[in-house]
Amino acid sequence: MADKRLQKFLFPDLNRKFLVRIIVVGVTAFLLFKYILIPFRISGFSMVPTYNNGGFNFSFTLKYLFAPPKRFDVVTVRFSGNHVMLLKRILALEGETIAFKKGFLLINGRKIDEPYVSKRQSWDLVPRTVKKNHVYVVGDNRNVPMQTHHFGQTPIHRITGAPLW
Amino acid sequence: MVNQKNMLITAMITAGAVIAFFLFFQNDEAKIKKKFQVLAKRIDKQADESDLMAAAAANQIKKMFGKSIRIEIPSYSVDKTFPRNEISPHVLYVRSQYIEMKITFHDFQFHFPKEDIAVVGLTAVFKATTATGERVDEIHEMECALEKVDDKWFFTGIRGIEVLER
Repeated sequence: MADKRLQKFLFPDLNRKFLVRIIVVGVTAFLLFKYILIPFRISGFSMVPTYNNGGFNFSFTLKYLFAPPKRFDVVTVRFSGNHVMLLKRILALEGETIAFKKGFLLINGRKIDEPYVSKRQSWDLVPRTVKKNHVYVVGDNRNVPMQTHHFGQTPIHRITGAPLW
Repeated sequence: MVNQKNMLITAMITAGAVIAFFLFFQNDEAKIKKKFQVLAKRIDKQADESDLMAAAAANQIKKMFGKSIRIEIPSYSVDKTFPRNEISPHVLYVRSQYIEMKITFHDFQFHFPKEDIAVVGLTAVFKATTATGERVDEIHEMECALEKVDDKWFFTGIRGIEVLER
């Protein structure tokens, strides 16, 4: 009996009901992974130690449907589409002033603790104000020269979502 | 039996029609995408490339551009219009800087402001190895302008878009 059920599960009859089920599962999976949980592989060391090179994750696109992005949120930032995205942490919101002094983050002139940073080089960035409808994003890996690290302010509409874990 | 035979013939005719449609009636978006694929293939450089092969690639790339091309990349402080004749030496110079190089284009966004003008937004992923063995891995969002002359598309402008502005 159990053998028959297993055989039926592994080799089901190709009837109409089965085909409908296949189509529903296929369409649901396509919509889910194309628009809601976009799979991505991390390439690079910008977010080390929080996210490592080669890691796998999903960008959850509904994260900011009802609430705006907050400081310290890790977000995915799109280029012209979702095929290639940046993974960065939001450090400053619109209207705030951001600066780095000897590797430490200053928001509106006040030093901010960053527990997710393990090692840091002596970054010095003169204060700058985040534009309207923009956020300032930086990677967690500060153990690289500032010139080689890709960071800056970006329009909020470029944020596609947040990593699922 | 007859039914099966008819179905097979219908399927073959449909498949033939679909293939013919894609071969002979490509729309402008498909033609431009193809143009980018060809450009990427010509930009690709293998470690064993000879000077002759490099010159041939530079010449082929040159032919893909219009009479002049405006290149505007703020992150590299480049803002210049190049006549077509000056493209080859620049391509050769860039190729000489790398042992290997590869470019891929993704996420095309098409816009046709006029019938014979196209503006294409895209993401370019550039991977290369310098002569000193250093790995280069860059991603840029770009906006490329193309012009249609005699049913062929030619590049007339490339503009880099800053995604993160310091």
